[in-house]
Amino acid sequence: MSAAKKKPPDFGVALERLVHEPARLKIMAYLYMVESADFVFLISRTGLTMGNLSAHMSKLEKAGYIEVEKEIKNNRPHTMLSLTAAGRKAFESYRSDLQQILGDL
Amino acid sequence: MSEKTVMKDINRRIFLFYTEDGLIDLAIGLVLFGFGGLLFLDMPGYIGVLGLLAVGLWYLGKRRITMPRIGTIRLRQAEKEKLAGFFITMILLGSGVLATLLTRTGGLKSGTLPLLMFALVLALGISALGFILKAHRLYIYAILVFSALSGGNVLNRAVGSTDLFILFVMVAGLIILAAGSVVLSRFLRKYPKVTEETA
Repeated sequence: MSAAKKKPPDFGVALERLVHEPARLKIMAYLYMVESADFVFLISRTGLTMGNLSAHMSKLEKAGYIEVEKEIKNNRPHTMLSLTAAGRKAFESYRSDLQQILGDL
Repeated sequence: MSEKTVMKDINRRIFLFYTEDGLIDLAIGLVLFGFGGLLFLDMPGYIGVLGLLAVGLWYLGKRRITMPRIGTIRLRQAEKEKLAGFFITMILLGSGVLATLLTRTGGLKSGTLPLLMFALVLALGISALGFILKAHRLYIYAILVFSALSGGNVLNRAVGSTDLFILFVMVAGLIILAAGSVVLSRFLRKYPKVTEETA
């Protein structure tokens, strides 16, 4: 059997890829700990660029995991982000899957 | 790093929003330095006005300095209630002890106990603030404040004048103001102003 056809090890649980990606995981972890945070806060804390953050934000919004609230504040665009109930549940389920995988190590 | 530690670290980084800019240090330093000044001018009753001024400056600094640099957050309801409960308890406790000290016992000429109680409440308040906001340098300020107030009072009674006590309080305030300025200047260097158009 060639190496390319080898299956990855089966841990018994599957981690959700949308949440598992490191940048999205960071965004979701920060949003999980607060009610909402703005775009600038997530840039300062995650170290992502605006383009990167926007791209990940779109994916999470499309999946229904985050809610994006755009407003104009002092004549400038201001974006607040928060986890939806589905996003909160997805993050909690990701945490418990990860604990299940790593728990016995 | 374990999963729990990562979440703890994220929580700590969220609370850096409140302390990383040094504004809380400047507010504490200002209150302490101003308290010394008010005692010198024999107007200790104005401590409330000084407190309001410090809170006002802190709020203005948050809006003008911090938020344009590191953004803003809204805390979860449970955390908001915890913070509100803490501030209300500390304000009530501090005002009660201070009012007792200033009105019923004859101010600084009174016995050592009420002043020690005030120093203890103030130091415990600063420590609790450090604990809630996860800013460990506030513990050092708490020790400094307690040492200044109690040490100053002991020396004060030995010499028989309030000047030493006032000097100790003002020096402690100045030290905290200087530390806050260093933290603020580091913060300004680390985070330039960011808007969503320029991020």
